[in-house]
Amino acid sequence: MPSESKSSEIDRSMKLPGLLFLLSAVAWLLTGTVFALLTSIKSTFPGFLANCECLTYGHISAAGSNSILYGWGGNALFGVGLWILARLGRRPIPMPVMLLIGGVFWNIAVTLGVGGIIIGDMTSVMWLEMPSYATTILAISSILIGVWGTLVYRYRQPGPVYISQLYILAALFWFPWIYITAQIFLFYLPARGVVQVVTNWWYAHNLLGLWLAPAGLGAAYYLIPKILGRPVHSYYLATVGFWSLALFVGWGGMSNLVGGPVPAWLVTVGIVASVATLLPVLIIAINHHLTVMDSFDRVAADPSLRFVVFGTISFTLASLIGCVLSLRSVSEISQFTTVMEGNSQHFVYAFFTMIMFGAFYFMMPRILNCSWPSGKLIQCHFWCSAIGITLMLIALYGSGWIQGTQMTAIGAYGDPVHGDFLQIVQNTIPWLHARTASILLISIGQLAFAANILWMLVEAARSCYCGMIGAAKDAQGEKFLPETAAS
Amino acid sequence: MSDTKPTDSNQSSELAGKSRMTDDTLLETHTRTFAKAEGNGEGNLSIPIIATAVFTLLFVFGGIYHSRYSADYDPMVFNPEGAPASLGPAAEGGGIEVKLDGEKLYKRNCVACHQADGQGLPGAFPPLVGSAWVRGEPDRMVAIMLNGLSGSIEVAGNTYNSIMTPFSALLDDDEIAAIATYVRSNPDWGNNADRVSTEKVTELRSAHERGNAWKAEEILELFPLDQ
Repeated sequence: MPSESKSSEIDRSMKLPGLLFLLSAVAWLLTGTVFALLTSIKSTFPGFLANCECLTYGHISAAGSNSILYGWGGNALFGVGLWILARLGRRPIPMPVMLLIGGVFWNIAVTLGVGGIIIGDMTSVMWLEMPSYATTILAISSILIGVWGTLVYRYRQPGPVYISQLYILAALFWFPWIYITAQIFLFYLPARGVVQVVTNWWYAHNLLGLWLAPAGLGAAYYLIPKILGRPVHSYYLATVGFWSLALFVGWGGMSNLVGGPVPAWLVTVGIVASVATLLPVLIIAINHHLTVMDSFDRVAADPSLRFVVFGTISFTLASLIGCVLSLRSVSEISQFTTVMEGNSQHFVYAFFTMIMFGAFYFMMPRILNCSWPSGKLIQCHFWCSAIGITLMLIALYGSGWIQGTQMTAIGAYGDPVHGDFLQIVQNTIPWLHARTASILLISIGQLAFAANILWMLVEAARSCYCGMIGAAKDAQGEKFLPETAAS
Repeated sequence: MSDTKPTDSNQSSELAGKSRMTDDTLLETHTRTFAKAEGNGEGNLSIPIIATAVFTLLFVFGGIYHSRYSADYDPMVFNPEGAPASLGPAAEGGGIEVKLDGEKLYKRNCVACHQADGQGLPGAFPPLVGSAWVRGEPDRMVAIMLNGLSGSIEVAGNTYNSIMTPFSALLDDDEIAAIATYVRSNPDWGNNADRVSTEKVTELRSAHERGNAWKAEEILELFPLDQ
């Protein structure tokens, strides 16, 4: 079949860059989780590892979030996104070596950045803590990779375009835009006063909403119909969902500034935009959930689909919760508590990361032309991740909400009901222990994932070696693969 | 390779082979759905009724919330429930009353002679604590501060003989008012006279402009001590 040989050709062109992105993504994921674990332990045992300046809370907390967002998030997004772009463009990647260069520099930048944070060169801006010697490389490599994504799209085979291409292309395009804008307004030509806070929230909100989210949604739009062999329910709504997401997300970050020293209209527009995000969320929910509605047995049986469906459900829930949290009356309670951290974990881990896991399970066998060596490790990975992240979300939302209500409770005479601040802080300790436990569970799952990947690489290397011997015997050279990936 | 079901095998898995879409099918199927929906209305264009209701509600909410809390995009409204913030009288050019620190000015200008505790030095500099010269109408004290005083002076039964330098060229009216207020109303020194306004100092400055220092008798003639 022509399509079979074509897709295997595409997979071969993506093999090296794909492996670079995917393997470094996993390495950063493990690094970030170790940092997150240490951070979580420190929040209940402040003396833990406190004698080394590099390992104090401020350093490793920022190192953790940057490893996960740029190290894991970026690499996973590039690897999976570019592969899907190439697959749907039905042409191999032109000059994949450029992607390798972009990927190598991206990882150098993240390494420099996280290293700089650890040794104390960090800035004070949330999710932009990397020092300036890393950010320039990061920005340039993201442009290079973005341009290559555009080329892959531009030189696709003429014919229909699918919604995933739109989402992934948008993610590749939006990152350099928001990143460079934020860098300029915060560090190179710093804006004055509260504009910096406005810029920071604009960036942080868009990093999740215009970078990680489109990539995760694009992957889900690709994998769900493909694996189920059934078109997306109400597909004609998908474009409306995409454009309305693009329209509303950019404004939504301002809702985090409730009560801050910014003009009221800015916050109001942010809240309206956050609530209006329900429009794309609902469309995406219709498309994703109604497609899998009556085939949960197959979702449960397929290693990729389980993760993807968990991720799409999390996207809907996280967006609904995020929308409620943006309202003034709710925000007054949840602001500055672990509720906000819970909501970003809901997006980053329960939604984006889970979908990326599913995409890895689908993509790796195809670019390596080799199947997963252990189903048990996949099971272990799924259940540890699913239970772990659920536990973490309960802990963060629960503790934050209790903390927020106790801090803001006012008695009949305008006096605080819970006067003792330290007591309120202490009330969160059991919840924070639960968070530590949840990260432990998550890291067990990740170790299973990493072990499975390593095992697969060994198998692939062995079969490749055998294949080369076979190929040497085979005059045609290209037929050494037993059977190529059909789908 | 031949593990149980969850293992994703792309080689010879019947499940995969049968039900999965190739990329070509994926693209074509969805394009067809789209074309059908956009076409002559025969396709399934209907948005679920609940979704339509939710979309309508969203827009209604957005409009109402927006007009209720956007404060007409006034850059000076920070609290949507409250009135516009003001930049304060200083920025708006109004007369702002700067509160000068009388204690600080006293320490800078007066302690060398009258001492930090206001007791003065026996024989030379009279005390300000519990002094009849300080109490009562402020005119007497302010006049002395402006023009200085030389020669002997009797305070609380003791005689002092020295010179007080004039401060009219050194201090502004509001600074003199601040020092006088601090001295006159300092409870630690047993004084609780009224505060002295800047206008009062201005008035006295123009009324008693002179080139030389007062004598104690001149002062007592103009502003006799309260009994």
